[in-house]
Formats: sequence, structure tokens, C-alpha cells
Amino acid sequence: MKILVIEDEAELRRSIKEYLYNEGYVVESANDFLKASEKTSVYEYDCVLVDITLPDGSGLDIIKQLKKAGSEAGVIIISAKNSLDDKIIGLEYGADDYITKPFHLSELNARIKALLRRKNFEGNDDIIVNDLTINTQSKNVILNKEDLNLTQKEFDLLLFFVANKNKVITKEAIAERLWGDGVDNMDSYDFIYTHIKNLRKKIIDKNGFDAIKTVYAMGYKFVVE
Amino acid sequence: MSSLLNKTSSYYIIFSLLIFMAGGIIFFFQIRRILNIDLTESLYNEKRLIELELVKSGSPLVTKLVYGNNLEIKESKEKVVINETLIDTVLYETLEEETLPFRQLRFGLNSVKGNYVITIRKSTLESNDLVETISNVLIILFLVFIVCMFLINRWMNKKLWKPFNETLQKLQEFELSNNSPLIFPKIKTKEFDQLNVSLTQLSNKIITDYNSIKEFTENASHEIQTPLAVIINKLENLIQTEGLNEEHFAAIQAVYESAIRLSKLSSSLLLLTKIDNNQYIQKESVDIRSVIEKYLSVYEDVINEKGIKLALSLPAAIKIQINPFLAETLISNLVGNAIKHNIQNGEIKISLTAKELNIVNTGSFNTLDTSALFKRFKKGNPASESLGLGLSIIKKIAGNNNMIIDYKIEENRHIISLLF
Repeated sequence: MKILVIEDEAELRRSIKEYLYNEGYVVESANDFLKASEKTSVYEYDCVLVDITLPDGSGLDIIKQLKKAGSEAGVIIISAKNSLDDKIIGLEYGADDYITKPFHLSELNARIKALLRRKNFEGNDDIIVNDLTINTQSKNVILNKEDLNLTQKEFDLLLFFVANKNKVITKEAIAERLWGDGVDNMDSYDFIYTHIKNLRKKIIDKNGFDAIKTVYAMGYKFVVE
Repeated sequence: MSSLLNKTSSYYIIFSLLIFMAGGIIFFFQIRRILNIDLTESLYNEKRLIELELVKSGSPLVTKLVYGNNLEIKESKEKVVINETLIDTVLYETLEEETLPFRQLRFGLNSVKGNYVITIRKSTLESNDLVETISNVLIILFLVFIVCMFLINRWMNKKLWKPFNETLQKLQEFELSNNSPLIFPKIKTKEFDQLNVSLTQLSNKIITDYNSIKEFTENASHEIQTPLAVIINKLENLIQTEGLNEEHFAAIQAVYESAIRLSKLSSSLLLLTKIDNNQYIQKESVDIRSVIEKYLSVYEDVINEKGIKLALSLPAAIKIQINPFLAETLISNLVGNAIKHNIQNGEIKISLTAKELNIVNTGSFNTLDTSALFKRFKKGNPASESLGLGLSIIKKIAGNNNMIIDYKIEENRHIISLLF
């Protein structure tokens, strides 16, 4: 899978590249409009991450060019503006998703995975990880030929873990992923723990591999055997 | 406070009254003095006529006919030696059947043909009448004058100040967020025209400054997010490193949390600025009930975690005119606060009617300066992790939508009510 990161802020670009590279993607980057325009016109990408405000142009025009050239690449907008108007405009230009700075890398990764899954398998795919078989369409999780019977939240949690397997995921990222902006002003993230506990219990009860590990102070890690 | 017009009118009346009163009094005494002198003079004139008559005809009696009652002549055998006297007196007038005021001149007249004591009287009534008539005419004239001048003055003032009042009204209607400067029609009065020109320039300057500050605040908020994104993402990569110990994680977590807080703080300030700048003016009919239900489900896990008992009194849909985004922000903050500042196994009571929303909850602290609570960065609990902006945002949104917000603590219950 080939991903192009178009972002003018060097350190941010480097961080994104590093995280995605470790996920096994081929990652290329462009720091301005001109380079981005060149790369997108020459190479094919599975996914393009594009910052709207570039020093020498608008990221929206890159999307326009991509769509004009009939590119099949999934497009995720990275914007500093958390505004509904910008989001709507971006999606009208043909972007598939919109993420606001600052974002969690685990969140960006999950969105890229979901986007690629939608693009390549038309949303009909079983993810097999450890002893689990996750069907993203029917939202069933099979373990040792038995249905795990997960709640919506537990399923989303598992999917988020699996997307970022072998990575430390912060509780903040989990809270934002599962509950959105609504809970970001809560003082404690204890409510996350309850769901993680329940998910682990369901897996262990079915003699599954206990993949969810607690990482001191930070969050959790889904370990793959 | 009285208007400029009423003020000038009342000053005008007071001063003209004073001037007319003083003038009237002077005039009255002056007239009286002149009439007095005139009367005395006419008495002496008569005396001279009588003397002449006596010389001519040898008797003053002829004159008596001419002057009627006013002349009294007494013949005397001996030579009359009396001082000439001029006095004011009252006499009974048979004709009018009343006592009337007179001025009388008495003198002696001696000649070869006879000796006389002559008394000439003249009624002062006539001159008094005259003074009275003049005074009356004067008063009427004065009143008519005052009324006329008052009306003219009022009319004139109204006409003169009309452009000023129009300017004033435009100033009152001036709304910074409309981005339209004050524009006035050309006025013939120089001072008012200068005023209007200055106001137009001033409003242009204010609007420019306001827009640049607005832009600056927004840009600053956005610009701050990029370095924060760098910090957050660097840390997220850093924690993937093998061999980090608990000490490392604790330090990283502290930095990570602070960066996220800073980012949220910046977003909240931006939100406040945007509300201040009326950037959420597009209103729609929003069902408050469904917004409340949405956020109750968002917070469901937190509510369960804290063991909070919910008591809901939500009737059918309650629609109010508000910007949908602001409605969501308002409700999420209200409901969020009731949960966040609640105690373990606490209670939340939410009741919604067409007129108001009431949220009553148990709280972890029960002594609060409720008046200061809506101020930015004011926290109920200083140790709290919260930003202290929630209530200012609530207040700002409420104020922006003409809702009245009230916060109080009664019997260990925090009560926040919002009147639509």
C-alpha cells in the first residue's frame, strides 16, 4: 500500500511517516503544492493525506487534480480548521475523510485502514488477527468458532485496537475515537476501562488470547502473537 | 433625563419670565411716576389759569364751572395767609357713592377784588385705571409673546437638531458585527456634517480594527494547533519505543496531557471568540429534547461509571430557534458539567418545558461564589483538570440567543436553569 503525505510542517510530516512506515506502508511525502502536484501526476497512490493550507497553494486543488485525472486514491484532508464549512467543502471536492489538527496518529491510522478497506474490498472483508475473525460488515467477531457477542462500543474498541496492533494507544485517543468530542471535557477516563475490561473478559472467557495489555499511565496495547 | 428640546424650552421660559417680570415692574413704576408728575403739573396749570382768570375777569368763579367739583373756592373777607399745600386724600363722591382718591392743591389768592382760598382736586383714579389697563395689556402681550416664542423656538430647535437626532439613531443602530460602516446623507449644517464625517471615519476604523483582531484571534488559534499536533504526534511515536519504564511513561503522559489540554483550551477560546463575533448567526428550529437525549447517550458510559441516577422529565419535542452547532455545544456543556462535577452515586434531574430547561444535580463542592462562576477560567474546584471555560461558553451562547441563565445552590443541589 502506497501513501502520500502532503504536509508543509516538517516535524508533523516526519511523525506521520514514521507511524505509517511502521504499519508497513510505503510512505512518500511532499512539503508543498508543487511537489505534491508533481508526485500525484506521476505516481499512483492508494491513499493521499493532504493539508489544505500549503505555502504555495491549496490542498483542495490537489484533490481537484486527482479527481480530474481519474485517480482511485482515497483522500483524507488534514486541516488546522475545525469548521463544518471547510469539512463540507473538502468532501464536496471529493475527499473521503477529514481530520483536524491536532489528531492522534492511531486515529489517522484507523481512518486510513477503514478507507483502504472500503476502497479495496468494498467494505466486505474479514480481518483475521490472533485467534479472532472480525467481520467489519456484519460486525461479528468469531473466536474459536463462537460469536463473541460484543456490544457496539466493544466492537469499535476492538477494531481500533486491531487497526493499531502492537502499538501503544493512549486513553485520550480511545476516548475520542469511541465517544467523540463529547467526552473530551471529562476529568477521568475511567469509563474507558470498564469497556476494555468487558472486552478482555469476553475474549478470555472463550479461551482466547489475552492480547490487550495495559501500558502504565499512557493507555493500552493490542499485542499480536 | 430630559431632552435637549425640553431643556432649552424650559430655560427659555424661565429666563423670559424673569426678564419680563423685571421689565414689567420697572415699566409699571415708571408709568406711575410719569402719570403722577403729569397730574401734579396739571394741578399747577389749573392754578395758573385760575390766577389768569382772576386777573382777566376779576372773579375765579367762571373757572369753577369749567372744573366742576374739582374746584372749591372760598371767599374770605380778610387777606388769606396760608401755605400752598399739595396732598393726596380721599373724598366721598356723591355721584359715584363711594370714597375715591384725589390729589388736591390748596392755595390762597389775594387781589383787590377779593380774597380766596382755592382748592383744586383731581381724581387719581383715572391715572390708576390707566396704569392698570396698561399693565393688563402688557401682561396679555407678554403671554402671547411667550407662547409664540416658545412655539417658534421649539419648531426651530426641532428643525435644527433633526440631523443630529438622525445621526444619534444611526449610532444606536450601529452593529459592529454587521461590518457596515456608518453612512450619513450630506447635511447643510456645518458642525453636524463634520460630526457625521468624523463618525463615518471612526466607524470605518473600528470595523477594520475589529476585523483584524478577529482574524488575528482565529489565526492564532489555528496556528497554535500545528505545533501542538507536532508535540502530540511525536509523543505518540515516542511511546512505541521499546524499553521505556514507568518513569518515562509518567513524564510523557504529563506532557501529552498538557498538550491536549492546551489544544482544547485554544479551541474553546476560539469558540468564544467566534460566538462573540456572531459567526454562528444562522438559526434553525432545533429540537432541544433530542439534543439532550443525544448527549445523555454520549455520556452514558460516564454516567454509569459514576453510578449517577438520572431523573428525566422530557416532554415531546421542544423546538427553539438557535444555531444547531451552538445548541449542541450548549447542551453538551450543561449535561457534561452536571456529570463531571457530580459525586459518585449522585443524582441528576433534567426537566424540560417549552419555556425552560432545568438541570439539578448533586455536586462535589457546595460552597461556590455563583456570581463569579461564569467568568472565564473560574473553576469551582481549583484542583480540577477542567479548563474553566464551560460555563463562560454556556453563558455566551445563552446571551447570544436571548436566553436567561441562572445558577444557584440549594440544599446541596446545583441548580442551573435556562429560560428560552
